[in-house]
Amino acid sequence: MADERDRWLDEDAAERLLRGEPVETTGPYEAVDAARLAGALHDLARIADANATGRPGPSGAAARRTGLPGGQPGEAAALAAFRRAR
Amino acid sequence: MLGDDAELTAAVQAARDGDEDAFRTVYRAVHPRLLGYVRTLVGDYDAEDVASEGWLQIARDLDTFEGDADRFRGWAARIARNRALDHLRMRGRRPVVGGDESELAGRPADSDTADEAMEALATGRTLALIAQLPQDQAEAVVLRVVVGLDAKTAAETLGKRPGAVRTAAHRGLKKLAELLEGQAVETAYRVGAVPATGSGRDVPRTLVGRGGALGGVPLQRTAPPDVSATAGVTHSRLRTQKDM
Repeated sequence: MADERDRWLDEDAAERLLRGEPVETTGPYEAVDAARLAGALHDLARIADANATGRPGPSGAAARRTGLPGGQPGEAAALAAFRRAR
Repeated sequence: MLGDDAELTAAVQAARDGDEDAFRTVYRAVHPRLLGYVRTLVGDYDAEDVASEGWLQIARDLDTFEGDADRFRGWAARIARNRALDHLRMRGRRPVVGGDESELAGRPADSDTADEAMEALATGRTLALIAQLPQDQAEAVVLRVVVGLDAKTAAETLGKRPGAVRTAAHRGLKKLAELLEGQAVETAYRVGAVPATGSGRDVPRTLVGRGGALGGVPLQRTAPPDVSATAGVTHSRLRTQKDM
């Protein structure tokens, strides 16, 4: 099933999707598949947002609970290592 | 996006010269991406610790780094990857990707609000799919999409040729499309978008999509959650009509 359906997903289309660029498809079903895949990759890219300070997401919540300045657990430790190395 | 490339390039340079604020800027721009990558290798539970170990090494070895923002992200990802693989070796474990997606089921319990819980579910849902890809395909996709590397830098990070990484990413997307399609078909049947299920047709639309995931059960392979907002019931119906 997928073998026939995903003909549109050649290496060029894959590269465009990986860059977050739109892809051209020939029919409505292919367009749905392309939109769904682009949506999943968009969700995946947002994992980094969720990991950032103050954004919603598991790590954001954990960061706020630590109460560290800057909000990110590990930032203080990384800074300390940076000072030690200099 | 998390930090403009020219800004990050300048911050890396300033940090190399000893500027602490610049190092903080670098950390805040790159850490969320590294953490996302590390999660796919060691799982949610150990990811923060492993990423922290990576940053200790980055802070220590920053003097030896030369290059722009993209190369820095690649260099940092390579360090984080080595720490993650060491961590797995010491524990006699395999990477999460190419294995057990339950390690990446998200952590709704950590969430303070319904929005966060929903976001965590969406995150966990996507990561659970990624975890089902073979490791080389998953890493290629995550390095491109989450860490934000170009094909060449991703290849350097993995110690492979760019062509091999491009092929792995391509295959990964094909597999991902297949997994998404499987989910959509199952969802269509579950919510009654398929006429053959009879009374299921009456299921209100509000149960479909992201809103429905909250009231439902956590991720399970046998009962996948609703597909993301990009493919709601309308799409499922399109599919259904064709497949019949």
